[in-house]
Amino acid sequence: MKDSDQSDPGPDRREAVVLEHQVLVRWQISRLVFDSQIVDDLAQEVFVAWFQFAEQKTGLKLEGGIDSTTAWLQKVARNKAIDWLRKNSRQAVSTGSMNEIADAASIKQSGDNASDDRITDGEFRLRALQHCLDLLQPEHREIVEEFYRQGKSSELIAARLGKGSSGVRMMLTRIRRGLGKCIRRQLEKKK
Amino acid sequence: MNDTRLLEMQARQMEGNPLSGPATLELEAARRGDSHMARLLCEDQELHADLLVLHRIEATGAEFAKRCMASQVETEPMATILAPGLEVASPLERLRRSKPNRKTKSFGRMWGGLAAATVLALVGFGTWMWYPRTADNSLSTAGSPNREVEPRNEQPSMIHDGVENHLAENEVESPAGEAVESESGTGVRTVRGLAGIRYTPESEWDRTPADEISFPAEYKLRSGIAELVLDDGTEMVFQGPAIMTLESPRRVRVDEGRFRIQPVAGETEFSISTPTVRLKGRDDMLAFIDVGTADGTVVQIERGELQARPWSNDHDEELSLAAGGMDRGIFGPAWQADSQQPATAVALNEKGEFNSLVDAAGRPLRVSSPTVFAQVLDTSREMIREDPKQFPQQWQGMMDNLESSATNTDLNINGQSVHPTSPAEMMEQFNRIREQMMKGMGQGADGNNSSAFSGALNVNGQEQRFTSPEEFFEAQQKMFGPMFGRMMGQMPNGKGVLGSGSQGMTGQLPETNNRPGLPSGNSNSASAFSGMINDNGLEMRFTMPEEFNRAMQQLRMGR
Repeated sequence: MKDSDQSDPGPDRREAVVLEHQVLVRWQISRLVFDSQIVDDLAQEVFVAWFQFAEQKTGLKLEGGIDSTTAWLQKVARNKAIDWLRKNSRQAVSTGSMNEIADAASIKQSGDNASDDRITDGEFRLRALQHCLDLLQPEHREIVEEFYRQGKSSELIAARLGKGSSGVRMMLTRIRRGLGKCIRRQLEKKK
Repeated sequence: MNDTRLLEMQARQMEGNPLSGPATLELEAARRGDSHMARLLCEDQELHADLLVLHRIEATGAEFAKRCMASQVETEPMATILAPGLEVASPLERLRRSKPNRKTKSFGRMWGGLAAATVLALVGFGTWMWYPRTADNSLSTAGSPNREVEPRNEQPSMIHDGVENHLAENEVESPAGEAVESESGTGVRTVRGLAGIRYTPESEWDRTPADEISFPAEYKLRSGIAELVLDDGTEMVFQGPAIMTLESPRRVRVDEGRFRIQPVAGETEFSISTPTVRLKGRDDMLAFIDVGTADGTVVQIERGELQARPWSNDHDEELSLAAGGMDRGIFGPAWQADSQQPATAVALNEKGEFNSLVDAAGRPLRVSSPTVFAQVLDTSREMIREDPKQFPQQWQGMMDNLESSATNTDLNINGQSVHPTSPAEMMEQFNRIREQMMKGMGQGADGNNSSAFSGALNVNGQEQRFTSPEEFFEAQQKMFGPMFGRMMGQMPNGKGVLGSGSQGMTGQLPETNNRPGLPSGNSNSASAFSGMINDNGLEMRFTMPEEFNRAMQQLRMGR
């Protein structure tokens, strides 16, 4: 993702920033908060904060020396999500997320600058997942599209494929396992 | 093989299909248990969530950007976006008039099925972990004059002021302490017990809420989210479709929808009624209630405690729900003559602690382990299928036997005695014996050690002696009836299935911590359940009640 200039030339530029960064911002929040309505609300707050920040401090670098909009938005998105979780401590979080929250919280306490590396993890996972999806066999990609994007049930997909719904569920499970392996390989390469 | 089955089970759950109680327990145990399986399940959940999120945010990206930009056409002070999506309603009309430029920013679109599937996937016990939208949008703070409002990241003072202004205006209109309960017999009395009500702009009501309360006050919210605050600080947030009736300032009936109810402490108990349970509490509390799920009413306690009386007031049996203890309750519908299974009410927590009531024909049975719960429920379903008309009578007969004999039962096995003090304890102890026998069978190496097993069952002065597990189960059935016998592992034909040495099954009672020959341990723990059946060389291992039942089924079918 390209970094954008932080100056605030107007609504067109703002819209471009939203369009360019919204997937990443919402992804970052979604990794910690699972209610989509709250995700969108928090994402909106992130962009509102960015608009205000850009309006008031055009061109000013953030205190940690991060001058990219991408990093700034990710950081605020993450902190928004963590703040929300703190206030709603029993909110369901994904496997592993509690550790992540704890990490993030400790990072936050020890200084925001330290979180720069962590911030990239969410983005990297997103990019890795997108990359791995592209590597799927076409028929598997189609099943994933049908199930996740179009919201079709496994029964509907099974009817199309002439299989049982259990078979489709297991096929999806195997696809997910394959994606998991692919993401891990990507992470290994990164290291 | 088991991996595949569990993954498929989880996939079904992630897709939003409810699992049966035992299957849910089995899956949850697997997630917590064996590290390989737990990792497989967790990774699959995580990928599922990632894919849902990715596709969802990609699919709605343009829409999000559009709304986000629409909300920013005129940049407003942060104070006015304190509560995005919440429109000030009629009781606060004056406040709205005072802020002519106030705008709302609703991102009210609900994610629907996919989000539900995600949550189901991520929390395991899907519907038990519902959390409505609160907090950051000030829903949880606006109506609480005595609660501290936490400032947010940006411009906290402005946000804080926004809340204070909101409250101040309402306090003038409706002073605290004025709310009183309606006087029965003298008609409805109008009081000003409402500090405020507000709701998302897309909310649809059957009748727009008034700015005063006439108890009983019914609210029917077809869609949207609303927050209602009483003068004493009690807050109720609900998500439509929802039907709620405020019967008094301390009594609310919720018939449909999802609720976040936060009453303040008071001398009078706060009472929440749903179609399947009545909840009462005195202290400060915070409860999430989802009425009308496939399982009935689901309750999650976040703070304080509630006593739950399921189904009706016809019996005195209660379950306790408390933050830090058994903090979740699932209250199914009451028993009906045409029910396919007994009524169930369950209290539990993430640690696996469990308590429940199972009711048929108005005779509730307390069960305090998931294993016995699963046995009772499975056997009851089978028996209802076999003869639905006869079942209530059989259940009553079993309850009569258990209640009359629970305190007069003396079981002696291999010189060790057990004296239950209640039907629940009796079932627990018999079940532990069965579990240990199963475990022992798996450990028996010599092929015929059932001769080590002997004892006597004395109920109300009547004694049955036994010298083998088979005879023990026959004695158990004779004393407590066929339903109890089936629940505790008997074959439908009355033959003991657990100790039939003549059938090639072997077993022995193992030595335990403090009572040789008798089981011990935490009866509340599902994970304690494990063992193996060796039937003529065919080994069937089990670690969960479901697996045990399946093994038993195979045995039955194989004969």
